[in-house]
Amino acid sequence: MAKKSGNLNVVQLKKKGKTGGILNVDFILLFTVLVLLVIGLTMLFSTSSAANMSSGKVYAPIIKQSIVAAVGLFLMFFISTAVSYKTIKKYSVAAYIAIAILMVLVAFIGMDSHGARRQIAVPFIGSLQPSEFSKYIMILTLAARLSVIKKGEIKTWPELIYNLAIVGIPAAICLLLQRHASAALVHLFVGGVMIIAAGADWRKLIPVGLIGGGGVAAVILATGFRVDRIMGFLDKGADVQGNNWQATQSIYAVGSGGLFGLGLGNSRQKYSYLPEAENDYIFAIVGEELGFIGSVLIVLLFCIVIWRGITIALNCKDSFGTYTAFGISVLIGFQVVINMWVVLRLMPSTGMQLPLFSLGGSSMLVTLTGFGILLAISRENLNNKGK
Amino acid sequence: MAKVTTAEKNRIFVMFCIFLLLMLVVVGALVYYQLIRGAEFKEKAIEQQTRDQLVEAKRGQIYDRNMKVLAQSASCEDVMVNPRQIQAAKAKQDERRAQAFLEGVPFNEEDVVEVVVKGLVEVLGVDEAFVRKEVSLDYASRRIKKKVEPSVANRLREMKLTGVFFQETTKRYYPYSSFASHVIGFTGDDGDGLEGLEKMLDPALSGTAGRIQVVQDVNNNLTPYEYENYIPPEDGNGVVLTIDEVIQHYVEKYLEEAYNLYDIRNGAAAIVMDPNTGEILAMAVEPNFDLNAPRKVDSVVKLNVMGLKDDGTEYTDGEYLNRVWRNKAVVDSYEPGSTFKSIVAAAAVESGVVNPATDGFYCTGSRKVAVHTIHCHKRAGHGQETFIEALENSCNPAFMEMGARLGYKNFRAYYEAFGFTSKTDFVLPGESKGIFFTEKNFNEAELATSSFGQGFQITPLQMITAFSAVVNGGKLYKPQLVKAYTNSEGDIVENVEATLVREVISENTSRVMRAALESVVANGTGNAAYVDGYRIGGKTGTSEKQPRGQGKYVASFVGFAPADDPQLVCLLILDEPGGALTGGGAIAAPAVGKILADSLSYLGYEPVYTDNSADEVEVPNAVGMTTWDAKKLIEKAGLTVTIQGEGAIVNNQLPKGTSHLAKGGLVILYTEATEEVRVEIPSFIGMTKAQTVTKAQELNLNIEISGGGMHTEVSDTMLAISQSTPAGTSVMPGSVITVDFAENTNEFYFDQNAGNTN
Repeated sequence: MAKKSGNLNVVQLKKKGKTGGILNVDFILLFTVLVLLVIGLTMLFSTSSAANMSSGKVYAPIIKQSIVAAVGLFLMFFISTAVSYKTIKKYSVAAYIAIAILMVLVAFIGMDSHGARRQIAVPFIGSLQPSEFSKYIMILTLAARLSVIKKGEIKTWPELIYNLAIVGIPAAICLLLQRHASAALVHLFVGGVMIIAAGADWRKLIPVGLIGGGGVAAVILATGFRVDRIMGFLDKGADVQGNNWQATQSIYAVGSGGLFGLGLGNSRQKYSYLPEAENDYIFAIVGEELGFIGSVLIVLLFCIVIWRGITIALNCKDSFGTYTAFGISVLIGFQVVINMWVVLRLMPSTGMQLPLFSLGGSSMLVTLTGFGILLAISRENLNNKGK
Repeated sequence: MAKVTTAEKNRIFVMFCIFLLLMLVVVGALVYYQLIRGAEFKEKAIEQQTRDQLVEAKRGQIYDRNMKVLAQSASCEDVMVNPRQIQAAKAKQDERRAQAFLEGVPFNEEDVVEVVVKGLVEVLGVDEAFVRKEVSLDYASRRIKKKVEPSVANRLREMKLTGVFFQETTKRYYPYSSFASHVIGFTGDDGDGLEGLEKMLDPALSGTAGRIQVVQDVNNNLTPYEYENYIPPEDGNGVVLTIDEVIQHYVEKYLEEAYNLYDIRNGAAAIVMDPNTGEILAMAVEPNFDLNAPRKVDSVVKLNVMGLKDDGTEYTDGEYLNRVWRNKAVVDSYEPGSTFKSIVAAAAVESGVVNPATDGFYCTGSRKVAVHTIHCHKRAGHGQETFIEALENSCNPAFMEMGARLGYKNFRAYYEAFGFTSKTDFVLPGESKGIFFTEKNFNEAELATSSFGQGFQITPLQMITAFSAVVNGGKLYKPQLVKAYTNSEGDIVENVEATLVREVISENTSRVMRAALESVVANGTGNAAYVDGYRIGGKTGTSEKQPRGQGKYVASFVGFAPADDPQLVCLLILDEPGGALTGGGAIAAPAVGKILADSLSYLGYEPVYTDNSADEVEVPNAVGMTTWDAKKLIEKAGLTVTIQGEGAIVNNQLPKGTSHLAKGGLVILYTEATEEVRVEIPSFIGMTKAQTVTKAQELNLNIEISGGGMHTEVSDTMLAISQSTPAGTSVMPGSVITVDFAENTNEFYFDQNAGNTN
């Protein structure tokens, strides 16, 4: 199997062209992703144009995001049609080390934003956020490790710790060096779920989880404003103007939508009432403009995406493919759930973006690349089935 | 290649199920927030997003009869702050500052509150402590300054101050400032009319404000949305006044002149009416005030106007303003005095108790009425008089006779018919209807004094309205100040027609009165109103204020022109002249004459002159002649000569050549470039002709005597009432000063007990 290189696959695909078409991939996933991307960019335009009206940059955010999306789509199609995910496996460790070093560097030489350094300036593009890339690279690295160890080995302390380290190192860099709690949590959650799925021993995981969770909590408590955010969440009525402002405004937006919504582009809350409307809170604007029907549609589309992702994972004959597809699905699903829960005031604000919707080039790029990997796996699943 | 086990696949499937459950919670939350409580949150959102904005109706303009704009509204803005927003921004800034402190990063932002306060104080010039207090309050909207010019508001806008926003409003402008101030009135800060027509016509002018619900962002900037409930404003109507800006200007000019010249202590008023319609062409009151700053108090003017209270303290600004805003022509009643004789004469002729052609009166200087002896202003008596002479002389006994002939019932009937017992239903606020004797109190003495205008009180407006009926053919019109209403574009939508109240006297009686009253000006006590070239009629009036014997008078004159076809009636009242001159014929009549003449000229009536300048000679030009020749030439022309200097050649003379001088006038010849001698002109006011001439000779000034009607010489009893160059002016010796003379007749009566005569 190892001989089957990317090039071979391309050749194979061309041979099979007569029966399976050029896009011999999970078509439901591809279609759903494209629909979500179109809706996401539309909503981003609606929101960012209003949010930036006062500064006069009505079109700048959407243009930038669209360019990134185009690049991401190219990557997605390229990977889904021409790259074997097994090729990726080979480079995962090298990428893992590289991104870890980059993230450490960013913490010291990156762009300063609100007192934290998480991004690096890149000519022409503007900025990149390495932690976004790190999430996917961690999934690939972890999947690679989980796919090479023997059955049941994950239940041993050394192997568990080895895998936990793969997860923990980038998470620690995010939390301690970049002061980026949400990115750390994503790493820990996605990695943890993958390790659990791989069959790790609960009796060992629980103490590890308690220690890790305690450590994270301690770090969070050490920095004041996150506590405010949590306290603001717990005391929903109080301080509408201050810490709870964002959550309250989010609910005002969602509630204003009612069944049918105010109509595309008609959000009032995006006019500076809802901070970060084009970012973490874009789903609130979806609720306001597209109403209950539109919101549930978005929820359904994301469920379809995750359903297809899980199906691809389960259909994969190769455990690396399974873990990779599963990890990517967990990552997307986790981001979607957390984002929507925050918007709907089911949990405190965490700074989680909604994939394909929120403003942010790095997230858009890696999300589409991730879908490309998912589609590549689906392609090989289909090819194997066809044999 | 290792394949994942079934156990692992099961776990993956469980995870997927958990995901679906979490997404189900999302759907549940959407149901809760959007469907179950959606309406409630929507309402809250709308509450914070919208501002119910009043769309102010544009207040109508006020025009004069020729559509000159006297009052107009212009856009301006109220400057507002949102203190909560400023405080929230400040809180966030404090958080950032704390964060920076924790991280050891320098923090260079300027304090939000300081920036706002500094900006507002700097641009608006408002009190800093006041702004500080306002921004610290727990409100979403506070007004910092009202009615700011758009340019100032824009300066603030450019500064993009946190929590500062603007509300559009309008400001009332009066292009002519104090012009017709008591007629036009003014509005308050909220745009409601407070005085004058602005108050009385407020419903028509103000229109109806509309409403709009605007959607704003957190910083109170407008968003592109509007909610549907937009009620458009209905702009106010414009009002076209009967006031003629030019005539009003003349009235104000001559009223102010008289007001200042004769030291009037208790205000002055003048009205010009078109007798054929009742339209008010001008109405002025002194002191007036600046409509653009009606509450401004000049403490010097205040002290001049108000004086001190009895206990020596100053009046408050509020008391002063109430006094200044008071429309004397409409609100204050007064005893008309002899101007009222025109009414009594008309009633007497109309009722037939006097035959103006044949009846004669005899004045002994007094008349015994019941237990009183009532004197004529001429103690020696006027002797035998015709009806017209009685009017010319303003003879009290003659009018007591006419009143007696009329009788109580008739007198009262005419008094009422001329409108003196009721308000004219005028459009200006605070009109009073005057005071007259009850039937029980109206006895012989009251009838007698009423016959020459004393003992009861009427308003100036009633007086001019009744007098108009006397000269216009007998028709009493309702005094009218509004000619038409326009829409907001200035197109006339409604004309206000003249309202005839009733016919009081016949055209025939009116014709007699016109002739008699013209004669009063041409030959009688009203001759100071005479203006060469115009036919002016009128009646003087001087009444003594109550309590009698204090030497406080109301001097007035009511005139009309042209006398054969009256187009203008003018009443001018000077309340408490403080100088030597107190008679209406002396101080009120000249102003009325000038107002009528200027107005007639403006209306296109050319003066018709008769030659009466025979006594004047042209001054020959003697400059360049030898002193001897010059002296001979000028003396030959009938003038006298004074030579200044020792030179042989005249190098200057005063008055200049070709100017006119009365025969015997003085020409000064300057024979060398001597140091200029200047003479300060004294005040001739109140002097007799002889005193004036003597004084002028002392100072080497030429006096031109003026006054006395067309047929009347300036008599020895007349006093100087005005002079062409004001006292205190420095002139060259030989300059010509024209001094007007008139009879200073105080036509009030004295009870034999009230000793003082003038």
